[in-house]
Order: sequence, then C-alpha cells, then structure tokens
Amino acid sequence: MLTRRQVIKTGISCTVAGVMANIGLVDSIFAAGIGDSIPNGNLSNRSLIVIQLKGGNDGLNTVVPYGDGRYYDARPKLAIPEENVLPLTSEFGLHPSFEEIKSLWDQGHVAIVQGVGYPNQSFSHFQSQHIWKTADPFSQKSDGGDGWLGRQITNLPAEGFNWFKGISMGKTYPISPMATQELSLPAIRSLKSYQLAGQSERFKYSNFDLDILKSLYEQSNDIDPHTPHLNATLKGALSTSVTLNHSYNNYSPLVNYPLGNFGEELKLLASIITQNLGVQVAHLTIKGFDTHADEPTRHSVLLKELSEGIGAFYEDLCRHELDREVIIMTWSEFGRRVAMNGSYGTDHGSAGPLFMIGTSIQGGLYGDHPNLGDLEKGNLRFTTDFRSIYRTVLEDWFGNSDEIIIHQPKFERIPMFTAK
Amino acid sequence: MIISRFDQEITSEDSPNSETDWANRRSFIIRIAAATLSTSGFLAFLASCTGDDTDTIPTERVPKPSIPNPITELRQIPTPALPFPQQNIHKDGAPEPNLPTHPIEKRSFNIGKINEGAQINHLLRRAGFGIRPSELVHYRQIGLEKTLDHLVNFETVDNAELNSRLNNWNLKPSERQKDLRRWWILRMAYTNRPLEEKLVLFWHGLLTSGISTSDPLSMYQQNELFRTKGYDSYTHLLKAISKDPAMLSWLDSRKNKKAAPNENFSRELMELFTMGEGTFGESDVKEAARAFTGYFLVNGKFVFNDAHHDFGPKNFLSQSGYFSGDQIINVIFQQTETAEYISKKLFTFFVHNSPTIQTIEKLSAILRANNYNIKTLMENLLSSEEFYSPRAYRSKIKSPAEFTIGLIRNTGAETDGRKIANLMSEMGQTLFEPPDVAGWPDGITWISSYTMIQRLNYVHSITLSNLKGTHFNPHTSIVPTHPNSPDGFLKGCLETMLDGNINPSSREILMTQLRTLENLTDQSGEKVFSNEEIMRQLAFFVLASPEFQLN
Repeated sequence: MLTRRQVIKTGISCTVAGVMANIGLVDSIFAAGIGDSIPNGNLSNRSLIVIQLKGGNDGLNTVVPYGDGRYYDARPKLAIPEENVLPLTSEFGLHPSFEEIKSLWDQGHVAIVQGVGYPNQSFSHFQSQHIWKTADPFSQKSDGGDGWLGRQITNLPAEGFNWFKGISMGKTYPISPMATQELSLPAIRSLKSYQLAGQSERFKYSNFDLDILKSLYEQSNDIDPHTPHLNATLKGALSTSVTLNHSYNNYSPLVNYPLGNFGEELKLLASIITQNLGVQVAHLTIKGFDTHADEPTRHSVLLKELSEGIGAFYEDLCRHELDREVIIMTWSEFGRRVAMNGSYGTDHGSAGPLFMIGTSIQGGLYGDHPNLGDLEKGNLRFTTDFRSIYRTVLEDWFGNSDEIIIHQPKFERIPMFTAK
Repeated sequence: MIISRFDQEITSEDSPNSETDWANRRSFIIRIAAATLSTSGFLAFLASCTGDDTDTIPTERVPKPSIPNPITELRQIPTPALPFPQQNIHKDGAPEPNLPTHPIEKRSFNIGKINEGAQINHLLRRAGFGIRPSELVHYRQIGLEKTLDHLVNFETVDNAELNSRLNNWNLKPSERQKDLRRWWILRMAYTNRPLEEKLVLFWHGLLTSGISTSDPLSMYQQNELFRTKGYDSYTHLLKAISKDPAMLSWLDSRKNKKAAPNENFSRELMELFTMGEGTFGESDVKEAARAFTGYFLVNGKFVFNDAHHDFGPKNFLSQSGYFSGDQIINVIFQQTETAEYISKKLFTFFVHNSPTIQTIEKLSAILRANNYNIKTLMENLLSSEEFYSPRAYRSKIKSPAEFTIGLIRNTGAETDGRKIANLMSEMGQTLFEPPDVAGWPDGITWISSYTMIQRLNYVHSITLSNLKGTHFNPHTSIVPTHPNSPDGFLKGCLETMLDGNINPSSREILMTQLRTLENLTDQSGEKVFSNEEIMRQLAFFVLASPEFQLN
C-alpha cells in the first residue's frame, strides 16, 4: 500500500479513480456537453461533509495575504513570514501546515471563498454559531431552532426512511447545523462501543429481551416532554448499530489516517460512506480554534490536523471511487481580529475564508478578500454572505430549492462546481 | 413501624386499579393531558384540576417585592431562615413589613400532585444525585419538610464516612488526573451532603475550566473553591474565580498586558458568568479587559503585576472610574441583568427550563437583597411550589453525572469509582473538561444514539456486576419488603428508582416479565433462573427505562 504522503505527492489515486468514475458514468460524460455548471450523476448518492472549526478560526493566518504589508504591520509576531507561506497566487498563500490541502489545490479540487460573514457580526461564540447553524442572523440562541442541514434532511424526498441520511461524528451534537426536532439523527464516536449489550457475544448475558426495552420506551412515548426523543433515539440506535456492525467488515481503509480524534472520526465516516448506506450529510467538529493566546503553536497544530485528515479522507474516497460523490465544506463562527493582542493571540473577529473541497469542486479563489485598509473597529468587513454558499450547496449539489431552508432574501449562488 | 409504613405504601400499589394509587394516576393523567392538549390547553387543564398550581395562585398573595437598591439596602435585610407560608404572609395577604417576601409561592407541604415519597425522591435527585435505599425509610418517616431542612443546612452534616472512604482509597487528586476524577465521583456517590456536591457540579458547568489547559492541582483547588465559597456570596466566588489559576489558564490570561489586553476573560465574564449575551457592548468588553491587565499566572499562582496593569480611567457599563478588576465585578453585580441571569441559571439547573419572567424577577430581587447569597436562593428554590410542580417533575434529562452517580446511589452499589469517569465521558460529560467555555449544554442534547447506547450498557454492566470495581448485590442493595422475593424486589426498585411512579402499562410489562422469568423451567422442570438472576434482570429493565433517564 502506498502511504498517504506518497499518494498525495504523486497524485496517482485521484487520476485513476477519476477515470474509472467517468467510465462508470457514461451518461454523465454525455451530459457534460450541456454546459450546466451543476455536476451530473445521481443526486441521491451525493454527500456533503461539513467540518466545523470551533472557536473562531483565524482566517488571516489560514489564507495569508502575504502580498499585503498591512497584514505584517498588524501582527508583528504572529504573521506567517512570506517565505513559509504555501503560495496560491502572488497575493495569497496557505499556512505552512496546509501541505495536503495545498496539494489538493494544485490538483484543482479546492475552492476558497474569501471574506465570508454576515451583517452585524456577533462576537459571541455561541450566538454566532447559532446564526451559522440556523442560517438566520436575526434568530437568538435562546429561541433554539433547527439547523440548516437538519432542515435539508427533513426536506429530502421521503423515499423510504433512512437513519443514515444525516450523521454526526462524535458522542453528541450540541450546537450543530444537523439539529432537528423531527429526527433523532445518529451520532457515532466509535464503532466498537456502538453496540447495545445483548446484541453482541461480548456480553455474556444475552437474555435481556430488547423487545421489552423497546416496548417500555414506546409505552412512555407520549407521557413526558422528552420521552418522544428518547423513544426515537432508542429506535435509531438499535437500527443503526445493527446495520453498522454487520457492514463494517466490508470496509478497509486504503490510506493511513492521522492519529487523534479527527483522524479517527474521518476513518469511521469513510467506513460508513463506503457502505452506501445513503449518507447525505455528515458533520464533524475540530475544537480549539479560539486562539486568544499562544496562537502560533496552537493554530499550527490544529491546521495540520485538519489538513492531514482531509488529505487522507479525500484519498480514501478516491481509492473507493467515491470522490465525485462527496464534497467537503468547512465553517467557523467567525474569524479573528486583524491586530494581535498581548498574549501572542488574537481576539474575536469577523469574516474569514471558507473551504470547499472535492473532485466535483472547481478549484480557485472566490469572492473578494476584505480590504485591510478599510476595517470596522479593527475587524474585516465581510464580502460574501455565508448563505450564498449554503444556497449554492443546496441548489447545485443537492438540486434542492433553498427557499424552505434559507429564508429570504435569495443570496447569489457561487458557481464552484465542475461541469464534468 | 417505619418498615410497615413502607410496606403499606408498596402494598397499595399491588393492584394497578387500586383507588389509593390516585396520586400516581393523577400525575399520569396530567401528563397524558400534556401529550394530547396544546400547550395553552394543557395549562388551562392544569389550572382546572390542580388548585395549587403556581399559575393559578392569586397574584395578591405574592406581592412582587420592590427591587432594593443594592448599595443602600444591602445589609438591612436579614437572610431569612427557611420559612413557610404562614410565617411571612399576613392574613390580609400583605407581606410582613421589613421581611423579605418569597420569590415564588412556597409549596404547601400537605398537597402535591405526586405523593410525598415521590417528592422526596425528586428533591434528592435535583438537590443531589438520588436517594439511597438506606435513606428511603428514614426520609419518609421524617417527611419532606425535615428532609429539605437537612439537605439545605448541609454545613452541619457530618461527612466523616465519606472522608474515611476517601482515605481508604489513598487517592492523590491534586497530582493525578485519574485520581482527581475518581475522588470527585466518590464524593458525589457517597457524600452525606449531596447539595454541596451538586452545587460544585453547577459551578463547574458555569465557571468552566478544563484540565487540558491546566493541571490536576489547579483543577483540584478550583473544585475545592466551589465547595468552600459556592454556598455563600456569588460576588465573592466570582472575585476569587477571576484570580483562580485554572480559570486564568482556561481563558488565556496567564499574561494579560496593558499594551494589548486579552479580551477573552472580560467577554466571557459578562456573557457567560454574569449578565448574558446582548446586555453589554463591545466597548464594555474592551474596557473591562483593561481592568484585568496585570493579572498573571506565575508558577501556577496568581500574581498581580502592576507594571502591566492599566491604571487609567475606564468607561464601563455607563460608569466611569479608575476601575480595578474587582471593581469591574462590583459594577457588574449592580446590574439587574446579573441577578436575573444567575437566578435563571440556578432555576433552570434545579427546577425546569422555562421559568416565567415574574419568577426570575422575584428570585433576582432576593439575590440582590441578600448580597447574592446562594444559600438563601437555594432555600427558596427548593421549597417553592414550582419545584414540586408537574412542570418540574421529570422535566429534565439526567446529565451523565446524574445518571451514573444516581444509579450508584439508587441501587446502593459499592464502587471504587475507577471505571465511572470514562463511562461518564463516553456519555458526553468529561469531568474537569467541559466542551467549551459555556459548559455542558442541557436537555435533549445529552441523548444521542451513541450516548443512549452507552447509558444502557452502563446499566447492563452494573446490574450484572460485570463492571470492574463496582458491585451491585440485589439481595442487600435494595431494601425490598421481602428480601428474597423478586416480587418485593421489583416493588422496592420502583419505589427507590422511579418514585413508585411509572405508567400502568409499563408496570404491567415489568410484572409480566417477572412472571415469565419465574415460570420458565427447563425440560427437567427446574427453574431456568435463580431469584438473583431474575432480580438482576428486573433491575436492568427498571434502570434502563425511559423514566430513569429523566430527572
């Protein structure tokens, strides 16, 4: 087996997988001539992987405006030196930790939307996460509300109910765009502990009748405010754990995933996606981006984790010939202040870049970079509303109208999918 | 005699059709109504069938206290002892002069929608981690009022038993992360002062810090700080927390310099610890941040480095002055928003998730009148009508700490606490490592398919005694009416674990399962299951039930 790094450097895997995918989808080659910017293929096979960079990712040190002296003036000890930047253009380059993402950029699979934000930026982690979650800048955290991805899943044509339509990688999903009151979507942290005692021979006592358990939950379904959720979750847990533990043996990772939570969760996600269980949306979180202090070290480690994980995951998909059906999107509640603070860190800021990655993505820089000479109380002015990206994904990737999911007004779509 | 009283109560539930079970049935009917009527319809229904519901109390009985000026009236108003309605409400309905009125209607101790035994269980779950089988008879004998009295005046309760247990384990909580978690888990599981530990858990979820950004010693000291200062003035606790090593690390204030202040602590101080989002401006964040400059952490200790402190004038929350960090906190505690925010935090943690604005205003008036004394607030909360109302009862989902520790206490299991921290963590709550500065989100987010499986497997492993270091003996753990009878055992489980309050059809399922297991015989006519095996299986179902997930 080639190591992950070797594959990335040679770029073999995706070329091969890409060709094979085209052979398999004759009609998609044919349809390409129509000139639609929307990729063809079976819409229901498509997946969106959403990665939250929790805490407020420092966009300026992720996509570095190394051609702009004002960046270096604002961050004397924090700016990425020009010689370390992985250049994208003569003006912008990536953080040196983004080796794998740079390699995918070179292959044309990375779209970077610059200056993403929304009007009247909230500087509260929790309120801003809530706004990104609900796609509604006027909604208050205390009001609750479903996430935009939860609404997308609820809106999908009901061709038979499928628990796997939306999955969260992790133990729970507190502030998640996947939140929805109608469904109890599964959250999975590890497959080994995703089995109920009595379903497996590991537990010697298998006398407990799961039917009795189920009926206890059904009997209580309407009695207390929380019991419908308990009942639905138990059903989902029983159903998905049985399915996963039966199908898991069919998967073998074709790359080495990096160590750590994020790598483990991506590997687990790959094992689920490759089983064709109908995953439409999956959500993962990396936390720790709230770099008020000691940013250089902390941020490098986080970006490395992100880049290595995405690199491995993308390759695994390629080798399973699924790279055309899966796109990756990142988000973070805000960027950070342009000027550094006294603790070698940055405080809460506003706009930041958002990454879209995949074989079906048309690589490149999208949107305008905020003007470093025209700040608003030390913060960048956003240039692209995040709901433009949501709308693009909903319409161009899922072929779904965004009207129910994102409230008016309509935001401009960004044509960032390949027409292949 | 005590036992016989317990006997009678249990016997009365023998027949699901018995009229004596009316209290349970009434609660059941109310909850059925909740499920079938719209919200407003449900409230109307409640009002019609429960004369003592908070919503129906005539407002003149509970005059809204005028909000005292904290500066001038701060110490004029005495801290009330735990009074009952007769003591502070005049015959004509007017409050006694110079006595603080109570924020929310006191419950009348002889009326309830659930019987007194269930109320005691509810109280011990919320103000602690659940009743122990060995306590059940005693608390029922002394009654709810005295149980409450005992709980809230925990400062005088002897905890020698816990301390000797802890000494036996020879733990080093200030040195080793694993020992630290075990130490606190054992405290929660075996303390005789459950409210003390419950408040420490509350403070840990509000004034968050994590071991990943500090060390066992700092986290241990912070945990002890919550224990020593968490039942007194919140103002004093917060001033201590602003200089607490674990907090300084958590919010990046190891070196906070005048030249470029770090805003992290300043923002979260207002947004999460005191006033709430939307009650302050960005300039307040920046000004307060200046006041906390010079706060340094040196060799694990707080140091005020005046060379880096900004001694200049600050404009903060419409006041101007040469504010220090402590003075900023004083200004914050003059804001009504602070009292309301903390009242709401305590109310939603201990009572239910949707207090009315009036309730919060009344509670915050009490807080401000009593120098933000937490004990006074807790006495009021735990004796309030709302605390025992159907809207509070089983309205919350047990957090992983409440679930894991509650199970140990409810079953009387013996544990060395070794495995529990990791299992709790798999359920979504890692002690000493909250997910972010906002602490653990409450409510249904505790329950995902993953955490549901972890919860059920935990129950499975304890009821079968497969869990290393934890022993549950059905013959001795539960106090059954007939020690060796599965029938009595089941009733004992239902009383301690589910307040004797389970919907009739679920009770029927359990009874049927009991008979099925008892009657199973093999080819030679021998019983398939021993009594102990049957009891373990029954305990599993009771503890795995949806009702046991609720708090």
